[in-house]
Amino acid sequence: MVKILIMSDLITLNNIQLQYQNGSEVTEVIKGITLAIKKQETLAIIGKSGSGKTSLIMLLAGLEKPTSGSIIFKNQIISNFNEEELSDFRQKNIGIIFQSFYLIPNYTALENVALTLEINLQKNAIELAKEILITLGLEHRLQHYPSQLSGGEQQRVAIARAVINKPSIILADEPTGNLDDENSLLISDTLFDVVKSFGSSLCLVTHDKELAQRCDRQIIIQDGKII
Amino acid sequence: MEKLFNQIQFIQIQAWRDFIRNFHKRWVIIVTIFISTFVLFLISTLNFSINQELKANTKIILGGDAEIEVNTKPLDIEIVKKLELLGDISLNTSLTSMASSNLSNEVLTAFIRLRVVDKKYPLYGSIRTKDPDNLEEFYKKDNQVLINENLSTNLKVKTGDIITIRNKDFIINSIIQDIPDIGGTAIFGDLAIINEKGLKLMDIKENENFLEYEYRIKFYDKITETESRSALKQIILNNSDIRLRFPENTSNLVQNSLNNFSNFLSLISLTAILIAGIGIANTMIALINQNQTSIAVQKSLGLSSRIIQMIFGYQIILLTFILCVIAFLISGIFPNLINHFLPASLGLQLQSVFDARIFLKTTLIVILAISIFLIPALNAVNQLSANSLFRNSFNFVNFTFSKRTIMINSVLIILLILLFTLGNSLWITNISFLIGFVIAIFIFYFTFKTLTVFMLKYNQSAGLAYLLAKRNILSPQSLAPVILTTLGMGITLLLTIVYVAFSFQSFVNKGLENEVPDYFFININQDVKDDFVSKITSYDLNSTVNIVPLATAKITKINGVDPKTYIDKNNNSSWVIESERRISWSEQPAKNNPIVEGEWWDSNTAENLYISFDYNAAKDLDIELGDKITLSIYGREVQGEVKNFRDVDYADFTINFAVILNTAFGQKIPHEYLATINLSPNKRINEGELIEMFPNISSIKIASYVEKINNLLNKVSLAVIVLSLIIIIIGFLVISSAILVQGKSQLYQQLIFKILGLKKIIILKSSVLEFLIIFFTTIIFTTILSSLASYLILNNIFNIKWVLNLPITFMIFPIVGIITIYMILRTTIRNLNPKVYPLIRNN
Repeated sequence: MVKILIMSDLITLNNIQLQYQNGSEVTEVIKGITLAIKKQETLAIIGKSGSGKTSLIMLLAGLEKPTSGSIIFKNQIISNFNEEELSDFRQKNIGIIFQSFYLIPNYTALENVALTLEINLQKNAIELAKEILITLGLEHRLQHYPSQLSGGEQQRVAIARAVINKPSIILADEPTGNLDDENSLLISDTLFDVVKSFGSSLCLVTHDKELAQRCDRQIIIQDGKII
Repeated sequence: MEKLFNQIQFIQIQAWRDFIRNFHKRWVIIVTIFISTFVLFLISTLNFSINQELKANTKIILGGDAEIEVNTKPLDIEIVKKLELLGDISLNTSLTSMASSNLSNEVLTAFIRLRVVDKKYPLYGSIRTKDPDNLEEFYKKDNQVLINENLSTNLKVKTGDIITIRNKDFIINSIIQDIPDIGGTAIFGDLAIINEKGLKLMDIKENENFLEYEYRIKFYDKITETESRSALKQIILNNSDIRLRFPENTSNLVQNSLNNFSNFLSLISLTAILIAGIGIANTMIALINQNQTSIAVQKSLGLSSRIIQMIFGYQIILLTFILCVIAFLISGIFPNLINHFLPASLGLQLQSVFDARIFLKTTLIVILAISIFLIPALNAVNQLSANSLFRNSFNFVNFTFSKRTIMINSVLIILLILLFTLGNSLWITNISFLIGFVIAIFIFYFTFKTLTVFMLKYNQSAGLAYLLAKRNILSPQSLAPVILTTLGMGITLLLTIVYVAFSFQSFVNKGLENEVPDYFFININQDVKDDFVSKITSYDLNSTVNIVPLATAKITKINGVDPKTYIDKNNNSSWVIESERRISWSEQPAKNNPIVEGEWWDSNTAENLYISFDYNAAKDLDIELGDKITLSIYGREVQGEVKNFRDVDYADFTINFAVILNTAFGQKIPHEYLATINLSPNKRINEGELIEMFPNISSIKIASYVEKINNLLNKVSLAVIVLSLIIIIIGFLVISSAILVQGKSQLYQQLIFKILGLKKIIILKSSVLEFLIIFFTTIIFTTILSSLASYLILNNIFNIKWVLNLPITFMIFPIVGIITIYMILRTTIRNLNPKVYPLIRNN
């Protein structure tokens, strides 16, 4: 029974704690969270500002190391990985979408998306990037720089960049936080469509209850704990 | 009006607040401005102090209201009579001779420059000696001699001792401390002064051609100096062998060298300022990029781009002004310190200078130079918009050249050139140099454009690191052109200084090479030639005696025309045609004078005169192979054909002649001999014995001259090396500013790379590769431009041969490359180390 559970879990967090030391002051951000995300599952993390949602995303992405506890991804304890191994892990398995898009300003939309494949040394990166951007309705924006795109368009480019590598899990931190209702809807539709079509898991941090309800499961974080 | 006042007040408050709060972050700007400003102030102050000292003493330095140069023949008595109507005339006669002392049974000898002065000497200034009371006796008696400190040391003699000059004994009247009309001899050599009676005692015939005559005149007060000068010019009007020199155009070796050297330093320090300007502009771009959000917020609150630019600009100008004041105050005290490094015999006593004109002019030059680069950097603020706050997208800004900026900058460049060159005797060189600077910037910009075309055309796949580097270089918002231009200009300046310093060093070292003879002997008559050679050989069987015939001739015509009618006096080689020159003849060209054009003569007949000419002099005087040159040899005019050109380097201390004749013709001319002697190591000649045997032969101990000249040149080259070090510091500050300019964009990009899972090593490789592509692109042009600049500086300012030094070139590039790569790696590793968390949280 246990064995089956492990096999179907994509990523597992075991009693994770995360603390920040600021001089003599210690801030406890995550206070012993245990959580499993299954393959192709969509999970919404809800909570107030400062509750520890984004920190949890960072831990899942391997951008933060837990102070204690372990993170297991496909039977590998990634919390013990060194920096190079974590880079490799992110490159192959993780797609991240930010609230503020974080596109590279001196790269075109096409280059921003192709970059993910190029990092994985895929040869036809530009062609594949073009395909996905066309699928996302950005065929007229391929050669545009981020500053020439609207917020909705920038986020679609960011989604394309995150999913083009068909990652096992997509981590999205308030992906619609900077967008109007119309664009929010468009982006959430796009996000769920690509997650479904690529067979990825999704871990979504959001304040948007409607968006959260579209996920298979919702968890609420309060003061660094799941309630 | 009130609005304007409020705006100014607002700008001031904002600028001060920003300046004080971010003082520690502006260190690159502060250090760059201070070093370059200090160098410029120092050079200006020293230049001013030297000129002030020289100007105050011009008549004393010249020794009269005018000097009448006649070289080896005395003035016609009729001319002297006419001159005596205008003022007091003083005649100085000089010759090279040998002096010996015979104290404590040890014979010490020295080759000296003997100066014979008349009763009227000096017309201006005075002879300062250690025993001023003895001076009256010097003029009265025939056996009195004044000697300089050098000679006193070399002969181990003091006041009252006896020295022998040309077999006559002279009592040392005193040791010279300072004399008017200083010259090279006083600085480097052993000098002795006797009076006219002493010359008679030595029984030297006045018409012997080794005597040199100098007349000086002090005008009577009865007519104005202008009228006296014009009358003087009238008297010598038709006599082309006489040259006049007035105090304002005194061009003795020292003053010319100091002027040239200070001009060189001014040019280099101005270049340093201009390059520092590029560095400051780069730093400013980096600051604007770092403050994008705050600038966008300021704009959203209603501040115009112009006001924001003024807040930034005000800070830089204020900082520049404060640093100018500090640099001015520190540099002002330097002339006093420099006195310790100047040879005492120069007679210069520099004073501390705090002149408002220097402050105003130099501060204005610095502000203009910095503004030229600052304006396009500040214009980058226009590229930022408050919209970016809403769209959450920021662009990394770059230099902006609008039509207005180009117009303003053109005016500023013209003002800078005018201000820098105004009143400078080398204004053509200076303007050319500044124009060259602007052209160099364009060359590097177009080099970048060529690089982009090349990279786009050859779209080969060479790995991820190359792809990322290439993308950064080719991006329209790329900072690569700025980095390439900055690097290019920085390295060009570095290499230029290094080439100049190396050529200087090579010039100095040349004097120490083995080929430099130990002695030069002149006035060797034909009847004693063989005895002389055998005597030298008796001292050292393995000595090398190079003895060549010597005659005197003057070039009167080139292709039938008097060259003085079309060759300017300022021509570099006008000395060849001005008066009588020593000529020689030889069977074969000397090893150190290789033929560079034409061929050595096949037929060598006494009927035909063939001429071998100094290549550089021939080019200066527009002489071609086959041209007919008329020589006046002891009053007889003969025409000869130019058969070949030789490469002559007069600085190598060996026998060099501008004109060499064919042997068969030359042997018909009355002549004497000139010899150079190279002795084996540890072998010496008995100078005392040689004087006794050959009293008419004069000599110069080259080794001691070379050593003294080297001492001075070493100080000069030390100054160049110190300057190089300063420039190297500026160069690296500027290069670091080029890295800084990438700062935030690089940090941002590299963090995103990290989030996307790009390995650290690939990020580092791509950063280094991006730099290397830019760096290697600059190598060819920096080498060409620095070679050209150093060649022009050495040829036009110092008249020193430019020496290509490939090892230095190959050394400089790796050094700059390695240090810069280290700086890039350090920055990149630092960028990758911060936790990504703060970035993600919009911090």
